[in-house]
Amino acid sequence: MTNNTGSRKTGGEAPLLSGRHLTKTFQNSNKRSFNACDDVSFEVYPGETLGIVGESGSGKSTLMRMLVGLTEPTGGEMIFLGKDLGAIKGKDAREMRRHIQMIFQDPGTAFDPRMKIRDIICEPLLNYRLIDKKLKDETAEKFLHMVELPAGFKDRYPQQLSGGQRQRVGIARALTLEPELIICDEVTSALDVSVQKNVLDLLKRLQKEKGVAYLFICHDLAVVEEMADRILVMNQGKIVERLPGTNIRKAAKEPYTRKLIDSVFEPKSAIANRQNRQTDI
Amino acid sequence: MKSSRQPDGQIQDRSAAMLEIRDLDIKYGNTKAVDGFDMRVRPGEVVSIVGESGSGKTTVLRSILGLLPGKGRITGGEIDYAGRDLAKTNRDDFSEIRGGEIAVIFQDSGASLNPTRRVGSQFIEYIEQHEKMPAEETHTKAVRMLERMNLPDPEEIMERYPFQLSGGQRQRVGIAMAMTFSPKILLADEPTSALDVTTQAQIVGELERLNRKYNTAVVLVTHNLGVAAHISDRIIVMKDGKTVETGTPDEIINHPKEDYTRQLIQSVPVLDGGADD
Repeated sequence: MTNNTGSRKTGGEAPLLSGRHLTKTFQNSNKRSFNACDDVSFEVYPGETLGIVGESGSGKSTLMRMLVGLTEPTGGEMIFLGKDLGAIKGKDAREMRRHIQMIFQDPGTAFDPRMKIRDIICEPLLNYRLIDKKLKDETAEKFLHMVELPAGFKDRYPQQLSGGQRQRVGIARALTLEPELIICDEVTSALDVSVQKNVLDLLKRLQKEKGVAYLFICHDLAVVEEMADRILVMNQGKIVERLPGTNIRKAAKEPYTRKLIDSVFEPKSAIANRQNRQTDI
Repeated sequence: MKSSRQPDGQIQDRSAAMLEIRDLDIKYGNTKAVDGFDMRVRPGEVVSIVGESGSGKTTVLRSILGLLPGKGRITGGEIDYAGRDLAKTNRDDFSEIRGGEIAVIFQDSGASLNPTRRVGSQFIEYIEQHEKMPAEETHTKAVRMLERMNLPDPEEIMERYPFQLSGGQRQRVGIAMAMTFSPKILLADEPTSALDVTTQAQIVGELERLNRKYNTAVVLVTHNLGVAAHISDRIIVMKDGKTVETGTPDEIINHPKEDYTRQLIQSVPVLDGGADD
């Protein structure tokens, strides 16, 4: 069961989250079944970032949906803080879900456009009755400060913010319940590169300060490498390779991972390759 | 590589520009979206316009074919193509140029296909709009174009509905349609941005192949500096409607003159922190 811990030296530390043989099978009208997630096992340790990289159809979104309870697994278990997420129900489940938060690709569509930023940030705390309504202003300001946004933003609506600013609000909202784990689903994919860099830096700083673990799902290998301590490469529902968080170009062995790496266009290497091609002729 | 192309991407060929944009200004309502834009495109050349959102790169591309949305209008400058000023051309008069000598592909070409009709009938209709020919010939032409884009089993693709194709297949159909009348210039607006990386690499490969084989000039609008560096003869960097700088890929990527360009390059995440370069 525990032969899938990757390269990390655990030092006896218990994982925060273990996925064990997670499988999700969909059946279409012709009774043909298809495994969107196929025997996926992994561990996330406290305070670390586990990166998951894959293209469309790789199963990374299905995996994420199972972890947050939006899709029920067909098989396998998800152990979080020692409890099986699939087996707990009702109040216990609700209490447990507090510890796992999510940040989405485009908070512009995830937020209610009629809610002010203050209410968006405070909503989880109010849902769990952790603050009094009177404290909304104060709380919103505190979290806006945490994500480096002006306090005055609390009175704005999501549409009045840029994509990067909205993503910071998404991060602020995810932090309010002091989760142990945040699932980041393509959180910078809709952002310009310069904005992307700032948001990634913010996520790293917050992790250092709060010790929160990230499950960082992204299609961009370079972004995942920058963020993750360990990386899982997924293709067609399966984990095809487990990589360390650095020097993946050297570490990658599987043909699919190699293909992914070779498909990336990097500005400087693109120029170098062109110049090489030219001298070859 | 074309023989005229030097290692630094410079075109030695002094042939005149086919498309020349001079001092172009575009406004959306009262907001200036493009300010004093210049661009020359020579036959067979690949010019990329790179920039972040709001830079005006897509606006420039759309203005060439009179495709500015809503309140967008050209308020100054010229778009000189084959002796005509496209900046002063009526919307109706574009039909002879659009799809013929200048073709365009978008981020998701499939999105511009009608979802309720088969790919084939739409492709055939598109051909018939431009050229009268017997029905069997139209069909054969469509199939041949799909074949050229390395789509396996093109007859099968003709029978499918757009949603039954993958993003990469749809983009290939879009490029196949755009290439039907051997355009001299292909305008491509973020043609790979909605695609997976491995599919993106294939589509970039197809664009390169078309450029070399048919000497089609390409104007590529992209936020992806890596793709621009890979495919272009020249790169134009835009920000807030203005041109920041223009140069060969080597000049822009390895010797940028402007701070903004430098920041943009540094913001691109690279594998192993770029250690292998």
